[in-house]
Amino acid sequence: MSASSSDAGASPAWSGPETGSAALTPPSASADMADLVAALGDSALGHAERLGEPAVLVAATHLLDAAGFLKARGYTLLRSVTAVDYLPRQPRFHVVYHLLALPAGMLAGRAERDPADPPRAIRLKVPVPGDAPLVPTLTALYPTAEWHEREVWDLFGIEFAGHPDPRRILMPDDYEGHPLRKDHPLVYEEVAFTFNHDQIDAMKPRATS
Amino acid sequence: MTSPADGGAATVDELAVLRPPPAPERTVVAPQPMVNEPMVVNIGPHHPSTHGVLRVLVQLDGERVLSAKPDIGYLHTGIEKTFESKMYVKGTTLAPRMSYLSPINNNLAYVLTVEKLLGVEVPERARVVRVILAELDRLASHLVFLGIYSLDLGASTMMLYTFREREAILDLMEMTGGARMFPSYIRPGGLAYDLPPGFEAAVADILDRMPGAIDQYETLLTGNPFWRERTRGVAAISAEDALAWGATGTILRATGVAYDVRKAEPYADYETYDFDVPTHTDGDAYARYLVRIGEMRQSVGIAHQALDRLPGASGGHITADRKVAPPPKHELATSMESVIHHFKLWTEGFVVPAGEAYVAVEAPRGELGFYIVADGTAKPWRVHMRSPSFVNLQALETMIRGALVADLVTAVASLDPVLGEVDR
Repeated sequence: MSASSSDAGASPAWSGPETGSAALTPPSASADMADLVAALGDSALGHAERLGEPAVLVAATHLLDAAGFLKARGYTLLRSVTAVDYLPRQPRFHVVYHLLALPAGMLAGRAERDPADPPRAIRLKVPVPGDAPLVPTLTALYPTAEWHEREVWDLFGIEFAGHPDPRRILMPDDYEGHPLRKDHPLVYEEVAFTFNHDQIDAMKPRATS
Repeated sequence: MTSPADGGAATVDELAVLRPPPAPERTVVAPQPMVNEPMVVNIGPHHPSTHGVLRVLVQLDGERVLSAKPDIGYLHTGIEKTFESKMYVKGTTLAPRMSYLSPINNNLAYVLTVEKLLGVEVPERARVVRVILAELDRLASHLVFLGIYSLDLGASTMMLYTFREREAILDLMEMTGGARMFPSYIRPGGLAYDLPPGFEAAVADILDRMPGAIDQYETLLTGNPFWRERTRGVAAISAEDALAWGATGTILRATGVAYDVRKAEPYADYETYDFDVPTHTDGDAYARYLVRIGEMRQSVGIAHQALDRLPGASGGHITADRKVAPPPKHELATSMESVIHHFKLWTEGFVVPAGEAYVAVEAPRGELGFYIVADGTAKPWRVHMRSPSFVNLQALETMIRGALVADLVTAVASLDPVLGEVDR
């Protein structure tokens, strides 16, 4: 069985703005993206809006600034935190945050979508190097990040600085390795003894090495 | 023993040697003043009320819960890793297995994300059928919730009634895909094949029965004093806390926030259907029950509207794009091109252009999001599921802190977690 081993991974070519309609009157995620990029300056490493999903690439050192900016803009719901391993590429990991701003009407109990104040969704991506990956935790701004970040630590081995409870969450406590990394062995584990450990380890198939 | 020759009885002092020495004062356990030392109780992972293999470490002060830490991962299957080595079309059978109570919505969320990356247009008929199935799935899931929730609280009759209707809905699922729970009938580009004859009549039959059945459930529970006693004011959470902990679905709507993905980010033409989003403001276990009952009535209405649209809906069951949809069987005998398409689709699979997309649907438990990173091959580079059960379960501790330990059962049941979805 061979896993997909594209050498490029998915490569979003981070380029300049390609949104033509950023200056609409009703609040929009595209406008928020432009403002966030302007506010971050050099710390915004890139931004793009593809398939109608605005995304900003932020340096790990300025993640808290970016999240704080968006929370002040009404992005009250942190939908998910996850990561992607683009192994042959550098920086190796992207930590991905999906945020949602609920309009005042929905917060007040009116479900209908108001064209003048629609829900806005934005994605933050933080590039992290493969050796000693570290990202600041968002638990102070969004308590829900606690379990999401534990999961990312568990499955990718990305550390979250300042996390209140940095433990594994899905894998057993004594598990070695981080299974969603692309260089983690696939399929089954052959029984290894001291004398043939390295030999067996070398035979394990990996998505990318 | 004294002898008569001694002429007298033994003195008291002499007899004393026969008496055993007085027992020393018992000092094995030194008397201690009563202290309120918290006790840690381990509930689960095997416990009838924890809905699967959920383990909760509860710290108790008498009957009061000081903290409740869920310990999850007992059902972790590495499904996200498995996706990375499967063709996109195989993911349609993999995604539903994450949540065995709402497989159709899982199937739909995955397929919608793949379709967004592909940029493929889905025929109207397929979109209408998807709405019917998604709403039936919501009904089936809420029926299980209702049955198990009341069973956990001691009202065992309810489950027999709700499973009666759920069985009928699962029979419909069997009509579509051949399997009761995981039909995997929704495929990228549309549906696996067209609806079987008699499906519409069978759906109409169940939809006609449902309002009366829901009335029956409400007769048993809504005004029931025992039911209200066990659920009102129990496991309450405020709207601010629910948002902070990322809770969505009925948990959030029971606190008064009308966030429903079908309204906020409509998919499958939900914006053209007429339905309300039931909300409540109490945020407790009873409010969650009422919101779900309201949602079941709305689902019946939506499914009715979709059923009415079905005869007039244009297009076939799947897109005509042969790069995504397999050719019809009869063409394989006459068209070489169709044979090639068929062969390419079932050996290599279709190629999804590089990019990334996040698509959410309103699953019965809340926002179910799929985040897929495509690398321009026939297999996804990364698939992440934002599963509502995982996120909602995190709010458990906020709900239950300070409450009585017996209410923990109510709290977990009112969250309606599916552990397959929590652990993935």
